[in-house]
Amino acid sequence: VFPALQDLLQRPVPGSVLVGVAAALLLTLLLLGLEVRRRRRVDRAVRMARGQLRTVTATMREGVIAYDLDRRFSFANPAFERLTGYPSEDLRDQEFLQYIHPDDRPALLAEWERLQRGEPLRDQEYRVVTRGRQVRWSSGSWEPLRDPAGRQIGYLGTEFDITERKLAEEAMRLDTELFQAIIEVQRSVGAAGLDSATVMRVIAEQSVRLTGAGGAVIETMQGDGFAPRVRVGAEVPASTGSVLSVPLQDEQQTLGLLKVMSAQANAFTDRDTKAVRLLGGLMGAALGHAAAFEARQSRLEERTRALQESEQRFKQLVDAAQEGIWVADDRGMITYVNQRMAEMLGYQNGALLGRAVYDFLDPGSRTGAQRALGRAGGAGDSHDLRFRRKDGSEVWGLVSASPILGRGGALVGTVGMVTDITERKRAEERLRRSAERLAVLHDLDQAILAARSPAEVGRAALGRMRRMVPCERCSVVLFDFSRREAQLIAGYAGGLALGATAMPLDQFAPVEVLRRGGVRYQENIATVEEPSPQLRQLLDEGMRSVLTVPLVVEGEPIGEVSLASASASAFDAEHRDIALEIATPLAIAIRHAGLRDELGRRTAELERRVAEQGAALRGATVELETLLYAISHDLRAPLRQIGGFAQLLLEDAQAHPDAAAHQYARRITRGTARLASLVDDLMHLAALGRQDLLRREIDLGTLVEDVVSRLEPDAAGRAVEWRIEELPTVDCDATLAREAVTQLLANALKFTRPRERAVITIRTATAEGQTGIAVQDNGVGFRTGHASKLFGIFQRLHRTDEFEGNGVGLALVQRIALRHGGRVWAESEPDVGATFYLTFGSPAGARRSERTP
Amino acid sequence: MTEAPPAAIDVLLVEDDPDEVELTLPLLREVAADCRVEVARDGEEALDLLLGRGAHRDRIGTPPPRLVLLDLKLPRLDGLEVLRALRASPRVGGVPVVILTSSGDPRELAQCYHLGANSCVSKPIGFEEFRSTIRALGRYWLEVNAVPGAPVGARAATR
Repeated sequence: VFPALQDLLQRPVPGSVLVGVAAALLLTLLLLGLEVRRRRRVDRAVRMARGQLRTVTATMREGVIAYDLDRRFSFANPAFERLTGYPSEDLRDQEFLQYIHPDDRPALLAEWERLQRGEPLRDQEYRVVTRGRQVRWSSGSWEPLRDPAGRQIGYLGTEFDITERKLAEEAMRLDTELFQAIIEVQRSVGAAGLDSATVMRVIAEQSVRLTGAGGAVIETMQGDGFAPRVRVGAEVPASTGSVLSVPLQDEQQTLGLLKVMSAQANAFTDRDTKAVRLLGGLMGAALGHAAAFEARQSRLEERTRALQESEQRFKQLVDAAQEGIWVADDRGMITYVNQRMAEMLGYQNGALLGRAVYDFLDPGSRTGAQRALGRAGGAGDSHDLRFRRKDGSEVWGLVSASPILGRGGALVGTVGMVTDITERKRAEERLRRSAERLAVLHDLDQAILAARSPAEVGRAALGRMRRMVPCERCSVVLFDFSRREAQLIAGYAGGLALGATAMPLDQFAPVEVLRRGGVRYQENIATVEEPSPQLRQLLDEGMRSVLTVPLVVEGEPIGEVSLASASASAFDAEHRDIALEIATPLAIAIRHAGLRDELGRRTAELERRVAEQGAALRGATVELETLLYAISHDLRAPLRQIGGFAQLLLEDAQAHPDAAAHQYARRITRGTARLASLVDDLMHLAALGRQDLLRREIDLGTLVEDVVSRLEPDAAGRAVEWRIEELPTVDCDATLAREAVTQLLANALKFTRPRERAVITIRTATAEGQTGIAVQDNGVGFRTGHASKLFGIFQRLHRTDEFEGNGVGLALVQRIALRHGGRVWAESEPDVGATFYLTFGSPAGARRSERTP
Repeated sequence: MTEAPPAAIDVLLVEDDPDEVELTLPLLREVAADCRVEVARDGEEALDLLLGRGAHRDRIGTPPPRLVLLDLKLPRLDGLEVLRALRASPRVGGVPVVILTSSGDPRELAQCYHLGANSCVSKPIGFEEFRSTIRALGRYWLEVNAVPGAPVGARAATR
């Protein structure tokens, strides 16, 4: 803001430019004036334009005036006011000529006529009569003012006060010496500048010299009377000598008196009078200029003061601001910083001036800074930038920068505002880190859940750890206190994985220290007096600081995690916390992985044993079945022979039916018949195990109906009600299923024999996702406690003389069920009935069970 | 029997168990009372008899039996070996062979048929069932079944 202001104040503005601007403004003004119908609006516009014209021409040394075709003033600037001594309000709408010396009016009128005829313009010199009835010379030049249609609507003139020059010219006419004196005086006055005291002294001295007087006095108005200001030469009493006195006047008033005095009477000639009058005139002009200058100077000082005050207020405001504020020039060099900004960066205010804002930014933030501070970054955009303080620490700032534009839109600088958001950033960073820490812990939990080896878990944890704790080298080591050995299971050095190695435990630290399981932190190994072999090795590898956290499970240290950095004091409390956070679940994960390994080994061992035993069992079963088969097979022939010969014996003894031999033969025949059926069933049972299953979809409904019809002869002469409900289709071996169903139905038929009316219900049974049939009867039943005995070979719950049978039937059913992967079981209540259930298993289950029959 | 040239036989029973032979022969006679039955006690003897070798060289020109009842479990040479060797003979290889077995082992049965058995019969364990089985065999193979060199129903006529 300031440079722009200062720039504006200091930059010289060529008068011609201003005249051009003034002409344009005035043209607008007059054009607007012609719009009669929109008068009120125009008046307002005229007043505005006038105000602008006034502003533009206010500081010009030339008088600027405008008048219409009737030569009535429409505008006069302050310089013209000074020239004539009239305020512009008095000039408004007055005829221009009345301010012109009567002798000069004809020439002017003639000139105007020339102008009106469109002839080229000539500068005119004429005398202006001031308000104080003084005559001043002016050099005027005019241009016609035209509307857009080209019609002349008035004149725009500039007036330059040439009184001094005219006086000089007059003096030259009088006397070359006088002229030269005047020139000299002028030069002296010029050299004296606008210091009125010096001017007065010069004038007084020259007056004495030119007139040969004894002395001179200049008196100026003080209050109501004149008081001497400057005195030169001897003081001469007024009564004896002669005094030549001329008034010192500017345009408006008498400023004082110039007196030259001589001791002799009539000492001054006419030439002297003229010289003194000339000097007085010069002086008046000079004093007038000086006064005007001083007035302007004082106005300028006032304005500067006001500006300084406002600047001061601004500075106070800016200095008190909570935001850091800087102002930079168009090259980005700092021209101003407030107190807060300096504090923020840790410098004295002055140390920042003349340096680029970029110098104080963290390299990582430079790209962002270019966006924020570049021209493209409009006001309102804010960017988070990281600054580097003098002490090297960092400060986060929310930066918004706005360009300062000079006239024409050129960039003259930047003003930036910085809010310290370091705390917020730190909080965000803490949040991000804690989120990351959580994520890592979650990862580790996942690793714990996943079946992983200790080495895998260790590598995973170190990977996470390195993301959050910067280190050049890290490792996970497990302790084996009993073997006094440490095993490195995972590690990285300079981004490369370390191979698994074992080393003596005391290389790390005394075993007692390791057993305590605390955190160890060496800020700088180089300063450790007696470093352990491990520390020495790390030192050789270029490491300086080492952070070691224990891996503890249930209070027992099982190992440790080491982080090493090439710089000393690389780790802080947060790093330690992170390491500890990771170490805790890591320890558990490693322990779990170890246990899982162990479990895996034991399970494998167990499985191996089971497999061995299973194989042995299968071998034994096969052997047993083979044996059973062989026995039953080899029993057949002798059994048939015994039965055969007994039969033949019986036939031979038919003549003597009462003979004891006949009776014996009958018993032998009966016994062998029973034994034969038993052997047959046993062989059948044995054959089941040797036979392949032919599974397919079998409709149990059809099968049951078929079996029932085949059993009809057995039920002959009995009242048997078969209730066959809707039955499922199951995947099974048709032959075996028929066998099993036949056994169950035959059983039901057999044990309902004592009932007057047998009711046998066959329905669907489901259990454990398997389907099959249930056969319910209202027979003699059995106690449920005996159910487990039912399915064993040769197990019988009834006496042979009650119900025939050899105890193989249900064993056969069970064998068939098991071969299918199914199941058979029974429920019963004595004298009420029994229900037998049979399922055939699922194909998959059957396949599994077939492997281990 | 050794003097005169050996006569043709109707049935060759290959069975090592004398008790089994003792039970089977009367049952065969129940069907064909006058049929000539020769018994071989092991596989070697059975092949000697059929192929006219060793002690039975004199049988070389004799027609083969109408039926061979062959047990599988035999000393020296088992039934399957006998069957294989028999079927390999161009002269007597076509003789009807009925396998008498105690087991119902499907693999064994399949093997028998594969080697050229004409029939396989499981010997029932009960005597009455055995009797009816032997009767059925005799009736079919000796009366119904036709072989070269003997008219159909020849035995029935003799009965």
